[in-house]
Amino acid sequence: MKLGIPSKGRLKKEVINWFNNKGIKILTSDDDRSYAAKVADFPNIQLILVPPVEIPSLLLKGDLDLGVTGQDLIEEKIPEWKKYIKELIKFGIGRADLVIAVPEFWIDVNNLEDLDDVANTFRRKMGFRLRIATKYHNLARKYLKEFGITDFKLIDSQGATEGLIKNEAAEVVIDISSTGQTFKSNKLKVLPIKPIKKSEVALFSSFKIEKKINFSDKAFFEKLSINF
Amino acid sequence: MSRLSLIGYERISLKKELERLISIFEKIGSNYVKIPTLLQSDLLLDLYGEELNSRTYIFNDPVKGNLMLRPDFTVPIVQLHIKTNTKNAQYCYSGKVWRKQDYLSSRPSEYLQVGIECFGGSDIAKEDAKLFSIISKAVGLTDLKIVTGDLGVLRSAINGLEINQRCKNALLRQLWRPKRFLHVLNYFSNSIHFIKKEKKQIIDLFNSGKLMEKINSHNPTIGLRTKKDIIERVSELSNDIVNNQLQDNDVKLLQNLLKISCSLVDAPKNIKKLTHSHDYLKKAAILLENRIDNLSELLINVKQIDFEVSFGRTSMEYYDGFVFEMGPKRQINSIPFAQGGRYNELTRILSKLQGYYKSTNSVGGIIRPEILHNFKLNQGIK
Repeated sequence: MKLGIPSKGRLKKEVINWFNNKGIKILTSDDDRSYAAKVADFPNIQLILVPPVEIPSLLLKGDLDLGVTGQDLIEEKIPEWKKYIKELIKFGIGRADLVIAVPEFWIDVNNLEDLDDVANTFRRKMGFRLRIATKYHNLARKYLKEFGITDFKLIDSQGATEGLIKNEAAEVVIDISSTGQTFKSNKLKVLPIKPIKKSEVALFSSFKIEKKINFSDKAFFEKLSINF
Repeated sequence: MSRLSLIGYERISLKKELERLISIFEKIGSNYVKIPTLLQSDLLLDLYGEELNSRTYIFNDPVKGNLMLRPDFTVPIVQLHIKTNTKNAQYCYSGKVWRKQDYLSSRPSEYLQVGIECFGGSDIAKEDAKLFSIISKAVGLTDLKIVTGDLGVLRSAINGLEINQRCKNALLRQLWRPKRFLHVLNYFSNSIHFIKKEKKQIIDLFNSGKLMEKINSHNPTIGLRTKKDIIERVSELSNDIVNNQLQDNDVKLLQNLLKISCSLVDAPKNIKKLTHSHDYLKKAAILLENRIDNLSELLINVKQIDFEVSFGRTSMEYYDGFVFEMGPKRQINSIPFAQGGRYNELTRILSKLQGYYKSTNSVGGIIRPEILHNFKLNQGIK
């Protein structure tokens, strides 16, 4: 059975701690750059360190049986994900909201009505659509469509998204945020409305997993209080 | 609906059906044009926005930029026509189009279209009727479910109201999204009720000349939207509160119009009932009457055609006048055989983008040969 967990940084440490607290010891190499790791006492479980953003598609393809990643990434990467992927347990870590941010000095913009109005005026004045930078294309598009905002276009940004406005490459940002500090540092404000999506880290499995579980794996799931 | 294999008779008969449709269009003087399968995506995306982005297959070519698998023929044909710098022309085409479908949708993602696009002609009613008759005769079936609409009716009604351009723009833009349209109606008939406290404070600052000071307290200004843009918008919001744009009668008129769903022959009468002194709307009703007369002259049985003011409102964004759809009767959720309509505004926008300031009237229609052919096979029609 293959289990994928985040390969780097704070999230990797937090996930390993979470498993440790549940009595599942994850052994990593002393070399921080090494991607080798294993699960003590569960030789059947092959541990794989993967960037969280790649975990959804690996689960979908069946290259992973289990994966730890953000709910936001699962929902973004796999349309109708509930038909293929099961959420087994929430970790209570990596909590963040997918939100809309605009320049702080846009004091006339506080909600979606405003954004709709501004987008329309912007398009008529500039001759092109209001640009919204994001890496969450599917979630952003679906959300804006449901509300009925139309005069915008999504700009792909895989990192440092908040800097694009200053750069005049975008007018609005849709990104994930836990404290909002990156927005503040870049002179942006989050629209004070319900987030597009509330997200946290969770353990996911592909539906095919149930057929694969054998006796020795059962103890692993029992430690996590997961029943199939 | 779509089959993986067509054998023997079925394969030959689909091919014949395709040829039959193309030759009908050619015989009446259309030029057959070949449109590439891969189209530049930037222009199409700017025209139709993210909705199209989520529906089409887009690929990156390191040299040519983003290319889109042809989602329809109309835009490239309009572009081709504009380049000829002529007024009157008629084109036909055939080939596949590609559209992503929703999860578990039974609709195919790739399918054939045969179509015709007509440019020029100053008598709109006559051209609409002619196009409809061409498509109807090409389909060649009787006892169909035919629904028509005319987006010009709602547009005329809105343009004829005594409201400012801001309110007109908002209504026209949200015509396509019934939920938002209703909101716009509510907002402009009672703005003060919809503008929240914190926005009222900003409006007060504007009215007392202190808005710029407030904006400056949020330095720096970043991005392409400027301080001036903000002040202009707050000025508009301030005006929204002071001068309610929509009166009860206006809202009622639009809502009653949207309810009209009747036989085509009764439609002008039903619209006229609501017009009172509304000249624009009277003109739209007269256009509708002329279209009906023209259809009758072309021996179309107008009594069998339905009319809905809201038809085409949710799915046919580039049409701005007459719209129609033909499909089998008594089949829920069936894919229509044919559809089409008038798109003068699209041609105008594309002409301007290509640097031509004269535009021509445009109307077109498509037939889906696979759907039509399948229906005929199932009904034993040869």
